[in-house]
Formats: sequence, structure tokens, C-alpha cells
Amino acid sequence: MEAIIEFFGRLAEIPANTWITQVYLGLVNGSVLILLALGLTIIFGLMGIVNFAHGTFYMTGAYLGWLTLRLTGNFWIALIVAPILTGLLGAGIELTMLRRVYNKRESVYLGILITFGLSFLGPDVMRFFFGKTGLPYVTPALLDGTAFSIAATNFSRYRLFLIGSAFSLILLMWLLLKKTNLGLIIRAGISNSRMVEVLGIEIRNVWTATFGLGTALAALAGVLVGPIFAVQPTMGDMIIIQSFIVVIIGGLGSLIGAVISALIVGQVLTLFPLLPHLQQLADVVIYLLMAFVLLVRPRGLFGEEGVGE
Amino acid sequence: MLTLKNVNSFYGLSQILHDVSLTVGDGETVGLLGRNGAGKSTTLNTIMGLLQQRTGSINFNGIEMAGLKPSAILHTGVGLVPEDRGIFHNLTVLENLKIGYLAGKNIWSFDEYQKYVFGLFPRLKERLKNPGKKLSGGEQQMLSMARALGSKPKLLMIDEPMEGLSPEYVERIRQTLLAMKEHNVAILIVENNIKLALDICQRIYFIEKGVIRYEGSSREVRDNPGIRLRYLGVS
Amino acid sequence: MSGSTALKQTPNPSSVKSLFAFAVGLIILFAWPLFAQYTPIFTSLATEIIIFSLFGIAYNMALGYTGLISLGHAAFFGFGGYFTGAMLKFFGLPVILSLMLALVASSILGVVFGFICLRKTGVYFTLVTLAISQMLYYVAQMWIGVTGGHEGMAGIPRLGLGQWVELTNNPKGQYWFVASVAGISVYMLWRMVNSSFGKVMQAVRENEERANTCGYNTKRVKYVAFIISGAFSGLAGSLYLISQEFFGIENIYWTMSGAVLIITLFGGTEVFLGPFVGALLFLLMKDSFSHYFEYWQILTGTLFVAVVLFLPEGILGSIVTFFSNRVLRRLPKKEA
Repeated sequence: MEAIIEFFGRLAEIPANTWITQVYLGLVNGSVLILLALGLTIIFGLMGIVNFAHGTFYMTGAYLGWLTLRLTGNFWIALIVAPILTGLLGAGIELTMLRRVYNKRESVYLGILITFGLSFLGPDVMRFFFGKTGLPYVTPALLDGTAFSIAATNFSRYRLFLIGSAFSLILLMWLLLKKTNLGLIIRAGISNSRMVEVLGIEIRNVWTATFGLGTALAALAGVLVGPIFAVQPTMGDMIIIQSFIVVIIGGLGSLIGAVISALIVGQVLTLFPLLPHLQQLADVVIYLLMAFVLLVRPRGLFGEEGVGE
Repeated sequence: MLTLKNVNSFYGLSQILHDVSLTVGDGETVGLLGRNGAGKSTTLNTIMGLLQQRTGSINFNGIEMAGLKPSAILHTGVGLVPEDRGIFHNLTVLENLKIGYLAGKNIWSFDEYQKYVFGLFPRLKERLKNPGKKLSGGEQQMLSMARALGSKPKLLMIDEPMEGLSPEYVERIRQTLLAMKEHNVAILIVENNIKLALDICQRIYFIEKGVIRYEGSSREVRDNPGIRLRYLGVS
Repeated sequence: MSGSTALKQTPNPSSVKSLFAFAVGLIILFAWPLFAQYTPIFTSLATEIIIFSLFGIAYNMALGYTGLISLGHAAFFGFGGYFTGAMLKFFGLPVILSLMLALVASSILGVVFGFICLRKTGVYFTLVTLAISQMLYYVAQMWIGVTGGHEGMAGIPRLGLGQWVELTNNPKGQYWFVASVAGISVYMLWRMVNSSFGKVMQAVRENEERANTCGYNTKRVKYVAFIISGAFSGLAGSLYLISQEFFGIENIYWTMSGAVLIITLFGGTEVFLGPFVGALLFLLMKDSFSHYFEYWQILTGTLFVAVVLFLPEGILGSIVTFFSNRVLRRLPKKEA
């Protein structure tokens, strides 16, 4: 009992602006995770491929963004060019490698292996070209500094921009999926890709486009985090696991699930370290959260029956 | 119109169809009957290109279809309403219809298409905004058929449309099939209700263990209970 | 992992010819340290290859024999290592006893781990194994008192087998010890694969539904296979600690699970000794190539993707298939 009182006592001592800051930072985390998880879940839903290389594309985007920034000195160009290049790379990989395995019996399994192999070689490719140490991005002048302050908490412009970009992209993705024929085909394909073919649609091209789109989103996330974290060869290793957890909690193949779960995980990651005595568990807690969700809802929050089983 | 010659088809190493030959004429309604596991659905899936391991010749209006992908086969004018109906559960009825229409967008307008299918299935119009998973079995069957008509196929293959439906829906679908005959759509139907099959079809094939055993007009089959007894075990 | 029907195995040792091959193999294995210095595979590298062969063969009990794609075996490897280290360091137990206890403890971990993960199938299984093993990684990271956290577990006392054999600072002694323990373990696994239980495991992999209708409790078969797989993966971790006299935290990080997956796939999942070839190749690339080209993962990763795309049976598996087709004039495995 005393321990509980003490726990809440210490909790109450935490100043309000600390909470606000952490919620804010959690939103930044969540935004990055949304961009990654959306691609992962669409690729999985449509093609049945668990893309282990997603973290590698995230990293590739960050490096290509750095390179573009270095060459042009313009962050905005980097923000557009790097995702496009990475998306093309992803589409190329889909065309040359993943396409070969769809028809086989163990396509899920072979997809994991191929993308895993890519994630294994990716970091060394970047070390080879860019060196082992982290590379800093320069925050564009327009986004430098503080946007406004609430309760002695400074909201940096850049982080606001990042959150805004992520949510604009969610909106764009939503429009794409709900309002266009391509989106219609993607959603139908997630439900039953064979039937889409039977209805006369060449779904393989849609697969390539979707894989490219997913990797481009990951790359965009990579460029966006550039000014916040240094760009490193190992930056994908860590976030890919977090993204997987987001997708599992949200339900494999579910888009709304990916968004909501990313926001939850983002908050948990930043708020948990505030709790007295429990800080040490902060790294583990998202795994516990995942275990708990799977226990209560075996297919995640919004997962559909039969997907991925 | 559709001619199969000595078609063999495989699942892995096991052969399902043995030298299947059959024809469907222009605007003709043909029934494919047989016991469970005789190879009825496999025949339809093979024509549609869903089974990659196949030999023999499948000719549709002069186009050799062996080796084509399902999407290419559809564009020659063949539609399939599969046994499981293949509804996109997360899409609304309208969206399901839109997908079906995409392959026919150069042939007719979406309004024309809607008018046509709602004429056949008025029920679908009431459920336009419902997701596929909320539909009853009969509604799903109607949606699946309506969707397959989106590309304006010249031949529609339908796999056991009446299975598990209430008499009311069976009648509705029977009416639709007869109406489609009027529109000069050829039909290849798998149907195990012999009465219904004889009612709708002009010709009947009996298939047994992947081999076509009998071919004849509906009249012959109707007049000859021995044939029904021999191939279906009912008279 | 093509849809082949029969699982290819090492030749039956009852025939004279294979007994001879077996004996020659055994002699080469044990004599290696005597001429290792003249080869690129010096003794300590050979020790590592043997340990990872054991790890791969144990891993393959789950992957190749029951079709379970785990990405959580780093948890077993790491747990085995830390557990053995703790027994040696904090309790001063003898080496052999520590290993036996580690085997038991890893089995228990397998019981718990499998209980949670095997409730899931397919992709969920893979992702949940990955997540749970990552959880253990963070536990290891926090529990600095035992594991040393990021510094790694050091300060292992001088090791030996009684007063006869010195293991610390004695690569040859370590090699012979590791080879003996691994050899016995691999022999046990081999017996298991060829037992009636092994046949059931393969039946489950080939067609789970059919095995189920044949009256086998396929869930239980997978569970048992997973526990055995985990137990010997843990033992491999123990041997690694003993041979390194140190245990870094990267041994329980998820990339270690990836490494064993690569090792197993390189060799081929359908051949019992496939992971040995995989470990040889993987560690040669890692240790030797990295002298010439620091970024060895580029080569290894490329080769891995190529193997997955073009040699789905793995390297040893493809060789075996090639020769058995030639020699036995078997029909091609698959029709186009």
C-alpha cells in the first residue's frame, strides 16, 4: 500500500511540462512508426510478404536524402528525391526477386528470407559508401527553432513539421485507397488477390507499384528523422522490430490498425520512462503490450480472420 | 465458341482431369454434372487459367487460351463465378461491382452496367453501401454474378450457384440465368440439382473421376432415368 | 524446401561404405587441430564452426523438420551462454555439470517459449518468436549484475576438466572438448531424426493436415521439436561461452537468430548435416573474407539471397540432389 501511495506521490511530482513534452515526443515517434507500419501492413496484406528489409529501405532513404542534401543543399529536394529513388529500388527488387517466389508453395517463407538477406547486407552497403559513423542532417532554416511554447514547453518547428507531414501522408494514403481505382484494387487484393485476377486485372503490376509505394513511405520516414537523429547504418535494425510490433498489435493487413497502434506504441515508448521505479522496463514494455494484446485479441486490434495464419 | 480438346490438369503431382473435351456454343447453356470431387470445379478453374499445370487445347472464339493468365483470359470474354463466390469482404457492394466493371470500362458505361445488374438483382441496389461480409449467402451469390457481368462476358462460367441457398433465392437466380440466356450470354454451369440443371440447360455433360462420361441434350437425360442413376446415383 | 517428398539423410551407417566415410569424417574432425595451422581454418575458427554447426542443426529441428520458422533462437543461444557463465562464475560449478544444467534450463525455456509462441501459426509465429527473444535481449541488457550488459559477460574463472585438461587459453583443448560435446549432441539429434518421432516430424512438415487426420497430435509434435531445438541451441550458446571465455550481448540480439537462419539455409534444410556446410561458409566469410574486405555482410547477404532464389534446397542439399539424381537415376523431383 505504501509503495502504491509513494508511486502516485512521485508521479504527481512530475511537472506538467514534462508530461507535455513526452506526449509531444511520443507523437513524433508515433508519426515515424505510422509511415513504416503503413507500408509494412499494405505489403503484407496484399502480397503476403513480411518485409524484413523495410528498416533497410528506411535507412536507404535517410542516406539518399543525406546525399541529395549534400549535393543540392536543399532539404525539400531531398525530401522528394530520396523516397522516389528508394521506391524505384523497392519496385526493382520486387520485379527481380520477390516476383519469382509468389507462385511457390512457401511464398511467405521465401519472402521473409529474401528480404531478410537484403536487411543483412544493407547496413554494410551503407558503411561501404558512407562510412561507419553517423552523418548529421542540417535542419532547413525555415523549420529551425521553436514554433510556440505551452506551459514552459517548447514545441520545435521541425518536429511539428514531421508530425504534420506524417498526418498529411495518412490523409493522402486514405484518399488513394478510398478514392482511386488503384486503391480499390489494392484493398480488393488484400481481401482476395486471386479473385482480382479472375476479374481481369493484372495484379502483378499492382504488386510492384505497392511495394514501391511502401518502400517510398519508409524512405520518407528515414529522411524526416534525419534532422532529429543522426543517420547511421544500424538505424533500421531497431525500428524494424518496433514496426513489426506496431503491425502485430494493429492486426496484420489492417491499415487503421497500423495507424492507431503506431500512435499507442509511440506514446508508450516516451511516457513509460516517466513512471517511478518502472523506468527500467521501458524497453520491454512494448513487447509486454504486444503479448497482452495477442492474449486478449489473437489477431491484434483490427486483424481479420485468416490473414497471416 | 468454347472448345476444349484433350485437356489434362494437375494439382501438384496428381492428375485431376483426363483428356477432357467439351464445347459450348454461342448463347448456349451447358451443364456440367457429376459427384463431389469428380473434377467439375477443376474444369472451370482450368478454363479460367487458375491451374497453371495443364495440357491440351482450350480454344475460345479462335483464341488459344492455354498458357494465358486469368486476367488475359477474362479479356477474351470469359467470366467466372467461383464456388466460394470470391466476394471482397472488406469492400462495399458498390466497390465490389466497380472492380468487376474495371475490365469492361471500354465496353459500356458504369451507369449502363448498374442499370443492367440492378434490373437483374434489384436487391443489390438496396445494399449498395453494405460491406461484402455483411451480406447473406444469397446476396453474395447475386453480387458475385453481377460482378462477373461487369466485363460483359460472352461466356459465363458459374460454379454451383444454388448451393446452400433458400428456395426463394434459388428461384431468383434461376430467373436470372434464364434472363441472361435472353441476352445471348453463353453459360457453362456446374449444378448438382438435376431438376434445375435440366430446366436451364440445353446440353449436359456428366463427368466422373476427371473423365467426361456422357454428353447429351437435356431432353435425352430427362427421358432416360437410367443415365441419371448411372452418373449421379439419383433418378 | 521444395515440395520434395522424402527427406534426404546422411547415408545409413550400417553399410560398410558409409561406416568408412563416417570414420574418416570423424578422424578428420578430431585430428584437425594438428594440421589446422596449415589451413585457413585455424583451430579457434574450427571450434566456432563446430559450435555454429550444432546451433544450425538444432535450429533445423524446428525449421527443416517441422517447418517452424523461428526468429527467436538467439534467445536460446544467449540464455545458454549466460546461464553457463553464471554457473561457472557465481557458483563455481564444474564445466560438465554447468553444461548439463544449461541443457536442462534451455529445455525449460523452450517449454515456456514454445507454449507462448506455438499458440500462433504462420507469420504470427515468426514475428512473436522475434518479439519474445528481443524481450529477453532487453532483460539481459538490464540485468548487468549477471550479464554485464553491453560490456558483455567477462571474468569467467579458469576452466578445465578436473586436473587433466586445461581449457582456458588452450585452443586445442577447447576444440577437442567442444567437438566431443557437439559430436555427442549431433549424434543424439541424428538418432532422434531417424526415430519414429523423426518420421512424424517430417510428416507434419510435409502436410500438417494429413498428419493430423492420421491421428498425430501435430501441435504436440511441433512443441516437442521446438523444445529439443531450443535445448540444443542453448547448449551451443554454452559451448560458445566456454570457447570464448566471454559472452557479448550481441549473442542474444535478434541478428543472431538471423545468422543461424542464414547458416541453416546455406547448407539446406533437408539434409541433416546441411547446417555444417552453412556454418563453414558463413564463418569463413565472416573471419577470412573480412581480412580482405571489411564489409563481408555484403557478400554473405548477396550469396544468401542468391541461394534462396536459385538453390532453394541449399548448397549441400543441391549437391546431394544432383548426385542422387545422377547416381540413382531418379526421376526429376518436380514436373513443370
